[in-house]
Amino acid sequence: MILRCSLSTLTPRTRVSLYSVLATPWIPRTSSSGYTLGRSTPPALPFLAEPDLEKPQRSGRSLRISGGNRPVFLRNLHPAFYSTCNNLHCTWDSFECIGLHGQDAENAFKVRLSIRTALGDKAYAWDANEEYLFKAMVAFSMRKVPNRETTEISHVLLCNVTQRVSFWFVVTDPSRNHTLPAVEVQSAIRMNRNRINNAFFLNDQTLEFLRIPSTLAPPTDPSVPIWIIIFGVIFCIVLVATMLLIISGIRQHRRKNKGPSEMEDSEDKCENVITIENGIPCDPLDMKGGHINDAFVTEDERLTPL
Amino acid sequence: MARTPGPDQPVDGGGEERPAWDNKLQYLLSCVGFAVGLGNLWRFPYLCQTHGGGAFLIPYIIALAFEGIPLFHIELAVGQRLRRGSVGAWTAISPYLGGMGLGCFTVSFLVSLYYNTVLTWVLWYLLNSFQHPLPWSACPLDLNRTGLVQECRDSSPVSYFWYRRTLNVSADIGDSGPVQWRLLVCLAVSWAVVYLCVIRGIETTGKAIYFTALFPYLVLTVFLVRGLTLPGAMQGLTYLFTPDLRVLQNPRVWLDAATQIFFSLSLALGGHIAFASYNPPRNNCRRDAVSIALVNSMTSLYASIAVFSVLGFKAASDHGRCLDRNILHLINAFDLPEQSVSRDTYTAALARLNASQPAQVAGLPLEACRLEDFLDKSASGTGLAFIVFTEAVLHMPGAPVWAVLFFGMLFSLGLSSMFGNMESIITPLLDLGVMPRRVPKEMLTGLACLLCFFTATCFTLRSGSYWLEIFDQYAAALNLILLAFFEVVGVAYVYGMKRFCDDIAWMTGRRPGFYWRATWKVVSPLLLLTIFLAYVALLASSPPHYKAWNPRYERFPLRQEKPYPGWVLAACVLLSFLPTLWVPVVALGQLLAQCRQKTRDPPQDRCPKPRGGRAC
Repeated sequence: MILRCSLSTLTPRTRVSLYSVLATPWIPRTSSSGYTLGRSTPPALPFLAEPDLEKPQRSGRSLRISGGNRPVFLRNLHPAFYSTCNNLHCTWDSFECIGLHGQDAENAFKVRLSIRTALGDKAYAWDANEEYLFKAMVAFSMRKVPNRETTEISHVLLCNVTQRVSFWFVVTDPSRNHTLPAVEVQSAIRMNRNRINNAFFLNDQTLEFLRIPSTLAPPTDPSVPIWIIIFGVIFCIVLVATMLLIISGIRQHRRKNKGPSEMEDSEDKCENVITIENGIPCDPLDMKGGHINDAFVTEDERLTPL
Repeated sequence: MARTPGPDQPVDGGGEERPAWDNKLQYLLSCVGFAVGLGNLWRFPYLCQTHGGGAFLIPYIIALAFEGIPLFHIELAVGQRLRRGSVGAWTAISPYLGGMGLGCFTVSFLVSLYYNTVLTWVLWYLLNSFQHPLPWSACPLDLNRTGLVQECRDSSPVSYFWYRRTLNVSADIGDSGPVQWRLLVCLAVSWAVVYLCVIRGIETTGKAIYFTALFPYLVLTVFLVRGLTLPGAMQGLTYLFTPDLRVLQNPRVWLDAATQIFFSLSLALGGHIAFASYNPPRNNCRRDAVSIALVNSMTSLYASIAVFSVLGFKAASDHGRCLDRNILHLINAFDLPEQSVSRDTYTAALARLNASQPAQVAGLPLEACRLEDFLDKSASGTGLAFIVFTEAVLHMPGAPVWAVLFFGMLFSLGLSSMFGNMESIITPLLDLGVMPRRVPKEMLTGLACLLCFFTATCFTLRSGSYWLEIFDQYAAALNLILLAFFEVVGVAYVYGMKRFCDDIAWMTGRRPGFYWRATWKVVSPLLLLTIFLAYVALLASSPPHYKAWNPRYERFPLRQEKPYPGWVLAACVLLSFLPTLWVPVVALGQLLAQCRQKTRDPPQDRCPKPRGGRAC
């Protein structure tokens, strides 16, 4: 069944011819086993894959709107919209993006949202209001581009919204004759990516603009890498402890040379430095600088002050 | 220290009072710490995993009973009886065997070089673990900030951090590159810590060992408890421990078990001889040997339970993520609502989609996700610690804490083994009296550590990790097996079994029984000879090659297998045989000296016969 719909009421300057194919409903059904998609699955770039507009499209109802000789968009079947679509009254809300040629096709971008992954229980449903907000954000981004300050929400066209939540969008110029170049849209979105993300409580990974690379956050390098700090701490501790041990070793050595070694074993054999007589080591005199009788060393010299 | 003189009591090394352990616990902990090292953690679980799970324990226990414990007992008894380090001890047993001590000394020196380099890597990771998120969790951005660094993107953040940010490895062993300053400073700290702990010999290591030997057990317990509560741990444990008795037919398994027990106990390095030489002479070294060997094996098992539970968790989470990636592909391609396909319903959904749209499904980059494939991924050595485990730690809640604990445990495990290595270097130097008496011990240890540090800087070059593998495979393995063989033969036949049994009876109060004598005389030497020949055959069977990390390799991130260049092969051969060459060289030298003396004084004409061994 072919349905023709005239959109002349909406686009006085464009001649509109519409047809749609009523096959099995395009709206995906929820079933216990998951989703079934009716007739087909939209390929990644549906319009590029199917340039021939005269053929009825597999994916269910669609409308082709052509302005002049160039088809712009096809109308889609968002459930909320479908009920309002009849022969005369069609709105520009959600459009199926099949049948775009060449430049227009390249100027469209696919968007994919993963709301449930990002928000879990607090996930909101994707409905027409959210789409309106999205169009508003895109229009806002375009307004920031010089020469595009007059972009309106109605210039942003969404189409092919799926249950995944993914859709295509394109921005037309005020005359609605052609679409804005992809480069402009890309740079506008990139500049305002953060605002767009925040409007939906999502981030770069859960609100994906395919073919628009996000500016990755610069790495948060602290001025001094953390490992150097820890390294400095450990090194200082080790150095101090080693110094302490060496110094106490030297002191012990000196004390051993100074005092009588009754606490040591008398089997200590000293080669050249210390000679033992009757078990008491005699220090070389030049270490003391005088004649000192070791037998009369005072108590506190032998005890360790530490 | 008053001692009742035993039979043939040799003069104490050097004549001055020998340092002694503060208490028996220090000695036991030192031996346990020396034996329990990094290999218990990253080699034993790998062997269990690849050689039939629980079935590997059979050859392991047999090797422990017939090779590990008897050799260990010999080392402790020799050290305790002769009260000298390895060089002095073997010279005392027979002047012709003095080369063995020098061989042990050389091997210990080589081992401590590369062992401390591994500790350097561990220290580097430890220093980098005090931040969140961990630096190996994400790839860094490339120069113009539009994407990730390609090398990291192609491999994984963990591999990138290990090969590039840590090692900065070159693609070829011939390409040495400059010294990596980060590793150099970590090496300096590593050696400084080792010096701090061995500065006064066992006086200081005895204090440090309380911490370094016990801390790993604490951390292992914590990891065990945490690991067992993680999802997927039980699957990991059951899969990895399930015995597969068919592996026992593979001789490689027996060889691996024998070498594992051998290296795990750190035999033939001279460290145990050094430790035992500080014991009081009347100490039950037999009981010590059996208990320390058993503790070492129990630790291996304990560690492998902890490791397997974490590996099981990692496999389960990798499997889950693989499924999630596939589900995402499906959802994105077919525009299904989010979370409409769960991990459980994935297979059914895929089948349904494949039935309805096979062409499109075939175009998707779906991976095959099987849990067994993830569980089978095994890694040993540095691969386990620095790649697999670091990745597993990333997915645990509170990742930096676990990373700090893990690398702290590795560091103290390695440090306690380093104490043994350094003791086996320093004790012979002290006994030989290399430095004049007035030079304090601190300076001797300082010089030894400094020399080792400067020599080990070659491992901080860009090709350092390749050289480390060479040292590990060639310098340590063959030499130790040969030296252990000479040890057993030297004690059983040159020193004399009867004398040795008498000495042990004097020290422990009981003569060694039939089991000991049989293993010392027959079983262990045969076993060691078989292992040596099998090892040589294994090394010779394939041309030596190494696996290089080459980002330009077409099958990157797989590692590229390259053969060693000729000069490297020459170095391998040198490393394999030079330490053991001390044995024939010194024996020959002694023979020449004796015969020269014989010709000089003809009436005293005797080339001393080797003291023979009658069976006890």
